[in-house]
Amino acid sequence: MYNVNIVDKILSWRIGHILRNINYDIDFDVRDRIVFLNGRVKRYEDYIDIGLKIGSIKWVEGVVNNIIWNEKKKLEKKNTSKKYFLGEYDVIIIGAGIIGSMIARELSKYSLKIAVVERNPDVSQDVSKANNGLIHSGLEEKLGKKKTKLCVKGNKMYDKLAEELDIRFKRIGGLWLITPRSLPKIRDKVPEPLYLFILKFILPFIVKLKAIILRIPVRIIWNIDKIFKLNPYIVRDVIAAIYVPTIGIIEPYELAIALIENAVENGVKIFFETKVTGFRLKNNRIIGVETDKGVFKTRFVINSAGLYADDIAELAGTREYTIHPRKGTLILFDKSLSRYVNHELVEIELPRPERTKGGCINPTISNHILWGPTAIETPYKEDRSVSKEELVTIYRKFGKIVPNMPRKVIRYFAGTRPATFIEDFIIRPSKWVKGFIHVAGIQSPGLTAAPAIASLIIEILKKEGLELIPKRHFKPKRNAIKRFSMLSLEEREKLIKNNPKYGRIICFCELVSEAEIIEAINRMKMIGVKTITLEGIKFRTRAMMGRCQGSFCCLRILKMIARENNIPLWRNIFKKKPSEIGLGDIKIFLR
Amino acid sequence: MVVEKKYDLTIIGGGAAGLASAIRAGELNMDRIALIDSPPYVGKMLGGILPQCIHPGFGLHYFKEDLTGPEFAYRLIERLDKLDIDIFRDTYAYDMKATKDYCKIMTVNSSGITRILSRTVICATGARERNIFEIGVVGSRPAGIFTAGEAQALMDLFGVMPGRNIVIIGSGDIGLIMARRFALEGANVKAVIELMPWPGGLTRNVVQCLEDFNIPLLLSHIALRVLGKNRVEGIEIARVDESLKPIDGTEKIIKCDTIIVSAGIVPRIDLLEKVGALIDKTTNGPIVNDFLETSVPNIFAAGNVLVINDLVDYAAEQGEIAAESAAYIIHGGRIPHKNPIKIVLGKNVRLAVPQLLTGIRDTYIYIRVKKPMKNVYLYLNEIDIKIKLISIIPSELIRIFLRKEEISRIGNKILNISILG
Repeated sequence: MYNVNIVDKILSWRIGHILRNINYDIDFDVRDRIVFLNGRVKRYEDYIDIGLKIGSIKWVEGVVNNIIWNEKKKLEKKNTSKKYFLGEYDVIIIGAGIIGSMIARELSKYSLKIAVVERNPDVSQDVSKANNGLIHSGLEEKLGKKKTKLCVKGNKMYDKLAEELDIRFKRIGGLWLITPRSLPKIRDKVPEPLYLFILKFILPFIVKLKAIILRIPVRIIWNIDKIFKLNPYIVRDVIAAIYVPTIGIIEPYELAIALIENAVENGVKIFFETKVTGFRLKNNRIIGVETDKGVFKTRFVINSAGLYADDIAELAGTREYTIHPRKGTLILFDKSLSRYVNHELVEIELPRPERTKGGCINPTISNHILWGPTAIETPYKEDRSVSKEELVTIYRKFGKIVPNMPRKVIRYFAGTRPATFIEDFIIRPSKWVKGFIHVAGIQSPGLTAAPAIASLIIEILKKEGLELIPKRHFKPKRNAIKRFSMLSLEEREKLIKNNPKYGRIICFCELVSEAEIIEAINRMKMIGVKTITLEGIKFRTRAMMGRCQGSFCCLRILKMIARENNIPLWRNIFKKKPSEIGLGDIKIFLR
Repeated sequence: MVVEKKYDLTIIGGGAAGLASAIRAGELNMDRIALIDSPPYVGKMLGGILPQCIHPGFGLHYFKEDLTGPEFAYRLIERLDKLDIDIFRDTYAYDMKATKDYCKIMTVNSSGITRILSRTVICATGARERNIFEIGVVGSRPAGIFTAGEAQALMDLFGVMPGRNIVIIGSGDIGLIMARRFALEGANVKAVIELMPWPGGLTRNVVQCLEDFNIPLLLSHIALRVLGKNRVEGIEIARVDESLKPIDGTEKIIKCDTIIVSAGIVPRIDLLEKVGALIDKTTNGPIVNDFLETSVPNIFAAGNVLVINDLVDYAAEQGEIAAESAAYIIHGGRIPHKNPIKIVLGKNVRLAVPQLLTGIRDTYIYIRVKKPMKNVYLYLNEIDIKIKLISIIPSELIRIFLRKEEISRIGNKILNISILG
């Protein structure tokens, strides 16, 4: 206890020093290495800047940024339904994104009663669905961060995970290019021959050194012909390249869906469209979770609520950080361009632009190509809109890497990262409430780190007193929906013979059959989805993800959902309620 | 085991072009003909997109009568039923390979996979609609954004009302027709937005579908951004300058609950890409000669996959030409491939189909201009032909007929097409 106070005192002194040099009048408070900021600023950027400045101080374990930058936030009224008792569970996981799903599946290996509470109608809806699906090596992260360690560890766990869950995973490898633009800060300061020497013979070894420290295999390639052989369409003035073989790709939502399916098969219960509204505590220990659908009794809560983790922590009275959403926009290109990109392509630029790894070009597991993402601070957690400026930024930045790639765009989309001000994952038991475990601030490389995070959570739960007895009948295997597009001729024939619906192609662009869509609907029901959304079908089958973006198949799929669920076609839901497809039935009397 | 079937001619696509070519092929004493169709929206119905086009304007050239889409399709289907043609309904052709003697088409339906070996193929796969991403509209992606064709199918095949307050992006014919359909069903069409300074559809549609219903047409306007969280709540638009760039300060928001994208259609060339047919960048369809043969011998193209037609009659006509060409091959004819005459796009010509001429047959040439013009001449300099055009617009294809005697006058294997005042 004495130690903690000393640290807090040192922190107070340093923070006071920093805040004195800021134009605004900001109050602060430090408690158990958590910094609370109060005050008022004029612009949102100042709110972010101050938060990040404080968050970057060593030993700060969380920044709760209560600085007001605009009118006071309106608090949403939450209605707890106290009428219904939803059951008693050993662990309740809040949020069914990648992290929540991964932890659910990991915990399902033990004899425990586990529930996942998700406010959306389906898994993987907020942070987890919109990212580029890269399994990073860890080399791009800063040394000494928690996320770096977990990323390196997580990367190694993916082969087994992909095999068990039957998801598509490929180690495509990364090709990090060194070009004359790699060190812009010293470019004009040193003579050109020296600059080229540094680029060719010093920079690669700096990267290599870092790789050795992190134990990541890399290879420096100086032979230009070899680089072009690996990726024939890249920019011509490349000087050298660093090949990182462990980098891989997956479809993030495919992973989350597989994890939840497997977790459910092993006894986990999912409550969709259920919003957490409060917690029940006794002697500062979690004893229950209140939601808009009813009340749970529990001993442990895992807060993996992504963008809303800070709000959830607040409900438990243990807000130890503030999430500031950081939007990233990605552009998806047509399949026919797949030959332009064989690896993850990055143009090394040092020092790195702040707040992001900088994005990359990468093929997706379905042979499309992605450029991005960008990194923009946004005050709105729900903001997933795309702006023209961001598209221009992406084109300008990545267009340099593959200059001749035609811009056949299929779509663009944005996702929001749940960034914290300390720019690192916050994975630890709550400082002030027993039984409440934070898994917050899981932004990139969170997807890669996810399996390692889940293992870490097991360790934490053990330390916190949860008894973990391995289940004897845990089923690690899960089978994916058989995809017509990925099968051999013989397999296709066999499938159609058993189920003629495999022969009816619904999505022309991605070659998805009726049987796959029906199977997707059934699997959604199996994991407890109450509202079958069009998005859910899309993420499970890839229907509507091709070049026509569903203008042909969307209606046939709607018809199928309507048929399988016995609802009128126009009442189908696009993403979440209320987003009905149509606004009424004009031929109701003909039916 | 995969079923294998052999045909002289296989037609892929059962829309206007596909039906017309099947009928013509049947009339030309070809024995083994197959028609493969995979309807976009509804079960086993032939006719492509026609069944949902319940407005008139079909068949003025082909049947010399003004019909609706379903009527036009039904007349063709009735004629088709009398002929001996193998129809593969609700069957999707997912792969195509060209070998020396045969073209191999992989098809799938609920009874299994069939490998079709066909001596000739007519690709009549039609077009798909451009989506909101292809026209660069940013913002969020809530429910309530439809392509015009989707909205049409929803209303006229499924009886679902997509929305009440509508903004239509693009003034192509489908967009204009849909504006009227919405108005007739009692919806409020707030505006039709067109990037160009002229309407994208036929004049008759502008008058009958917009003016008659007091629907505002905003020319030289661009759709910038979609607003809305769960359902569309509005769209931000702006006026554009001559280089089609938005003018600062002219942005405004139109409140609506539904956005209809009618920004043109593009040929569905997936199968043609698989056999390596050369693609014309101006039409986005295959490069063909006057037999409508693609760069891959014995594979022909007709209808919207070849060039986006504004009249169904032209699509049907191309289907017939392709069928005649296939029959010519099957009956022992040969199409010369060496040294074709190249059509060169001159002033004010955006595209012309066919792109190559063998010179051994009479041919139609379909031409689209770059901008609206009045009292101009179409020049074919190499053969001294000059055609007066009183009024032309980009949305109406110009169709000219050239006799082989005329084509034979071309000396240097180049035919320049230009339109000048």
